[in-house]
Amino acid sequence: MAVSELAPEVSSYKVTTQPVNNGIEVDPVTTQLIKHGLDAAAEQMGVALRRAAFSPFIYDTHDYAGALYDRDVRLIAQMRCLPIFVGTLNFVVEAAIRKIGFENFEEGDVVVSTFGYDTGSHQLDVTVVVPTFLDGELVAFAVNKAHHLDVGATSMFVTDSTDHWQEGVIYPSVRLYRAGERNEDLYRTMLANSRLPDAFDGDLHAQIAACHVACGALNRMFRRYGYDTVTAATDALFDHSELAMRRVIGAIPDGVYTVSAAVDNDGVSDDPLPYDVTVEIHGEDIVVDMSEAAPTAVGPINAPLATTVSCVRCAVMALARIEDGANEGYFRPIEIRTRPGTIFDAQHPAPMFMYAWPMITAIDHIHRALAPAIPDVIPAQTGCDVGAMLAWGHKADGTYWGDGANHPGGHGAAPAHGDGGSPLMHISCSGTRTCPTEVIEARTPLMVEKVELGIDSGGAGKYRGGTGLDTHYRAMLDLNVTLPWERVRPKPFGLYGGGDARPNNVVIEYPDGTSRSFLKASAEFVPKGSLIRLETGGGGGIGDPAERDPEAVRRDIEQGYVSEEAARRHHPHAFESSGAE
Amino acid sequence: MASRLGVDVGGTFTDLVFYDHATGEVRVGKGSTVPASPDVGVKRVVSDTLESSELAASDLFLHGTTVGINSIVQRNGAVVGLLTTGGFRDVLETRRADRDEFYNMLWKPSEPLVPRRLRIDVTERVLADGSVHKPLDEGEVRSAAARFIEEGVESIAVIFINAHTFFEHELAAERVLRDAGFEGGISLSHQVTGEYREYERTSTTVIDAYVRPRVSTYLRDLSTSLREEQFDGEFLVTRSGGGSMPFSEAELRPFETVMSGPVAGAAGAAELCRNIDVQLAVTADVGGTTFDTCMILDGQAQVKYQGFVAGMPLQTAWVDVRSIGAGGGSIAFEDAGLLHVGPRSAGADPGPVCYGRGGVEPTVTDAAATLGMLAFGELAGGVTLDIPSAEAAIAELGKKISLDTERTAQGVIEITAVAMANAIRAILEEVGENPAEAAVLAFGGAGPLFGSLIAKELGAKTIVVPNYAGNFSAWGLLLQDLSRSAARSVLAPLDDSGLEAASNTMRDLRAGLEQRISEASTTLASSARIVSNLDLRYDGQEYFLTIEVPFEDGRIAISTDELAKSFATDYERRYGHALGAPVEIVAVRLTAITPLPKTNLLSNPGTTQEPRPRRSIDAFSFAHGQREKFEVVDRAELEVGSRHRGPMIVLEETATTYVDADLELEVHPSGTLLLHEIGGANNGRI
Repeated sequence: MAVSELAPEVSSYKVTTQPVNNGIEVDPVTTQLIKHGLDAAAEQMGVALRRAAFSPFIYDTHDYAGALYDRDVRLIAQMRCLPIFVGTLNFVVEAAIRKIGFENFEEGDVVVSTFGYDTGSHQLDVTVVVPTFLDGELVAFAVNKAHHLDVGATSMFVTDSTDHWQEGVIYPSVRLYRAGERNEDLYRTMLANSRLPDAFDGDLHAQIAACHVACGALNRMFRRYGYDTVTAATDALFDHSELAMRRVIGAIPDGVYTVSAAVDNDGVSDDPLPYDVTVEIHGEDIVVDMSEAAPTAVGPINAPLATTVSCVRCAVMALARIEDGANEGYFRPIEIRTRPGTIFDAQHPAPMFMYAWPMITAIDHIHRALAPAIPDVIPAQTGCDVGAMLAWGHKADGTYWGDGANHPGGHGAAPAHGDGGSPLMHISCSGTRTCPTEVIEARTPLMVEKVELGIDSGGAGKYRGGTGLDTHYRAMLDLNVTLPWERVRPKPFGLYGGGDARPNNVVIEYPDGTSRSFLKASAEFVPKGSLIRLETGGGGGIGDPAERDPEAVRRDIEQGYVSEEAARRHHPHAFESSGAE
Repeated sequence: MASRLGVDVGGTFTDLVFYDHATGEVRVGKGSTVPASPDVGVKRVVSDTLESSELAASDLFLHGTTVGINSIVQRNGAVVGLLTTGGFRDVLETRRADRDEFYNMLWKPSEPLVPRRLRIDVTERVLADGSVHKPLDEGEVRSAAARFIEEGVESIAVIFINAHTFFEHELAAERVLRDAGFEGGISLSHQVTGEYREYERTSTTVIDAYVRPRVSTYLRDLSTSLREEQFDGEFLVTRSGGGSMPFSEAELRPFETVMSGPVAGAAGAAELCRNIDVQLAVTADVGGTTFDTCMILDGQAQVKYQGFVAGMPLQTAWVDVRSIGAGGGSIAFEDAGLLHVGPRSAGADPGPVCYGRGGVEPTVTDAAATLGMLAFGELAGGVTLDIPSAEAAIAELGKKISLDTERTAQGVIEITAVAMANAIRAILEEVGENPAEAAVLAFGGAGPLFGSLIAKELGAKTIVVPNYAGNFSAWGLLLQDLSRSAARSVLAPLDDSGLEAASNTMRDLRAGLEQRISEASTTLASSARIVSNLDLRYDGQEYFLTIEVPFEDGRIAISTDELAKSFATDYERRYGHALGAPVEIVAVRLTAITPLPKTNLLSNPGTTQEPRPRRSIDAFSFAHGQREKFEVVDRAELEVGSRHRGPMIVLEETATTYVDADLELEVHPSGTLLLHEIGGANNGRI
């Protein structure tokens, strides 16, 4: 690893906000009522956003996030949204304060940011920050980010950018509204810089309206309970959440746990990008060290600090299985270490359009690192990443079409939960869904030949990994695809003696009988008659295959999850004397 | 003609409302639900409430049942075989790959209703345009039939890809399965839903096949046992999408009964809103276990075209009633220093502590009893609540969070009311309606207890407490007309040829619907009115709006321009802006409504009781934050048109209405109670 060539300093990130401690005592009932109210205010922002949004990425795929922060930029409530965005939004609020100046905000301001190094997302995830005022005082911020269709990048989905400017127009925390007045020049500039100005306009104003709904709800809370009481209750709620998180971390044995992993490639070259994940447990505190990582890549597979922080928070929240909305308290025991200039702490102007890919898979390695410490909690690895396919071309009548779909993968077996279940989206993208065959075929010249569980794709073990999914598309006309896949190289790991699973497999079979495997495909031409085979990885197995219940082995064969040949190979004990025959 | 009884089976109670057409008398009954055999509970409440001569003289039995949903939740439905297109046997198991619990990496979907070995795919393929890419291999269907028979399959679901565009293969498969000797039920996807999206259609068709035997058996057992009691009228059951259908038809389309339970209350609420001119209302139906809520806009309960049961989608008309786990039996507990309520419930057994049936954990009802909100705790049938033991249980809970008994009880009620209000808020805000303008229509045993607290949370100005509030869902059953619906996806641009295609589909669909109407055995119905709708959306969007269209002389009688304009108007009303994009026709939807004989159920039951001596109790006023003297009156004493200032507690047989100190109560000419702020008018959209 080329770490030695990097700047030696490692930077550390941790929640630094302090309790307000305003001396007010709030009883447990009022605290709970205020919690309900804050959570509802955040949820209302989601409802308003879904209702008014133009783009199906927002109202159907739910590719958005939203949260409320107090004046000290403490996360007071977050709506139910993509887990990968859990707790990234403070970065953009902080950037807005830094760039505009806290004292310069006015009631009715609306700040727009697309700067990836502030938002922790590519420019398509347009972010809106609205300050909330109570009797003339700035008391809180409502913020949301949502996936737009086009913000003027070199193309609509960029996989080969070499700097941040190619990835979309940068709005660095600009005030689209000042004191309720829209800046018409800026507004026209924004519309002029989108290939789909109507959609941009519709989605942006949905985001703004959603922030205002949340601000209204928040203000009703302040007026009803009093600002100081709400603040004191938030202090208590943070303590409560912190306690819950500390209980989880405290149950993990102290130690330093390290694993090595790699990103398949950066989309430009085929070289893997190695990194280490080290998790340190000290009592009830956790440090996730991502600093030993490959230098920033040439291609757009780099994560800004905000992304890395968010994914680590997502990984730790998943560990705690907290279904409650996130708040500042949960993050207090979590420290994140990165090294500026690496793929996990890229610096402007490094390209970052596919910012999430390395961190999505890194979430699983954070969990794997802890497997020796908490073997009854950590599942084997999932085979999936986002499994995205973007396809476009011209229909028979010459009209242009473009569409996309995500593909779920097999999930790892888990000590406490047994075999892996049916394929799911990666946990970082919970809430997103597959696209139905009948929708794809109605909209595109793709014919789906099968959507079938991959036999033998799950890792063997005492508990079997879930199967991956084989989706085969026939191109009925010439078309193009971009397949920004990860995990084509390494096999999803099994744990505690369990077997590894099948990795992702991306193949195009051409009409002339040849075929080609891909790591990542970027704007690849697919001639009519070709078959695009997207076969997602299975989940790893748990425990020694020799310990698998022979009855379970028989059931897997009977249901067709495992072939008899593979079963005999992995579980010969199930076929002895009183075995399967 | 047309005396009738409605029986609604809930999670905790089985409610009955009887209407005697000759005298106009309305009688209510309430019994415990018998979860293992609900028909036993039904029969019991019928014989407890009615004389056999009254039953014999009744013409209609209207039913709301949870048998369908229970067989799914408890996984005791039929052994189903799934026959599908080659390459697609795993659609049912793969779902849409989303995760219910976002942060839970160990979350797994429940096992599919059909195991993989009973999902058999065969060679056949239809494309999106309805053309046949591969013909059906009937030999493979025959082999599948043999396999299904050998495996003891009880019903078969047939789902072929793109069957909404061409369904001959499904019909052919049914013929082959029958020829091969399969005798169980066969559900064909295009007949069950006719809508595209293969997972949702598969799930719906499989559920239909899965609940079929159990629903049939239940409906037959129930009708047989009531026939034995000399009832010789018509049996009707509520549909998930509203309206009712004869038992005979429900046996053919059992998936339509899955959400039969909570729908009746919403239907009753819609009828009430039409009659007392309330434009916008939300229901607050609080039973023992759940809180159900539904928006009533312009006299209509909101209907969706997809619902979920136990995490599985159902493509069918669906009255949009949402539930949260909060009811009178919800258990209050302490965790890490905070007070929580529900969703765990003490149910009917053991029930709240104050029921004295062995319950030891404090519930919402115990908190209400502690605060005096239930007055003296007198229940129907001479039962009296054990209020001191409720207080003791609440006091015990209070110790864990260092609060006194009084404040703890208030906390339990407040937290519950806030959760209920938030559920309502979400429904209204999804469609851009303002909660402050809605009337809160409170019913169910504990609904009228919470009405004023929920209204305060929402900023709503009016609370409506209907007659027979505790049995209102059963009352709603009595007003259901017969209803049937059908839908099919079209997917064509909104231009002349697209509209032509939609007209053709609509003609087909109407013929099928008319056939179903003529085959129905009911003798009470008049002629049906068919409402024709198109689902329209902007090209590229996923969500659609359903627009009613005129259908005359075998075609849709509206121009594309007018239709586009009417769509844009609706879209703007709903989403605040219209778009410039082209419009697409997504589906054709028909609803046939056949009215049942009218009743005068909405008239005032009248004062039926001589005033008792005045009573009062010290109860907690949430408006004033202290105990005050609440007048305790019987609802039957209240005269139409009279006004009464709170604080007051109004008792009726199966419900208690809590009128806080800042409210006044007005008795509407229909007997409905209207509560609003003292000095304030009914200034919501009423």
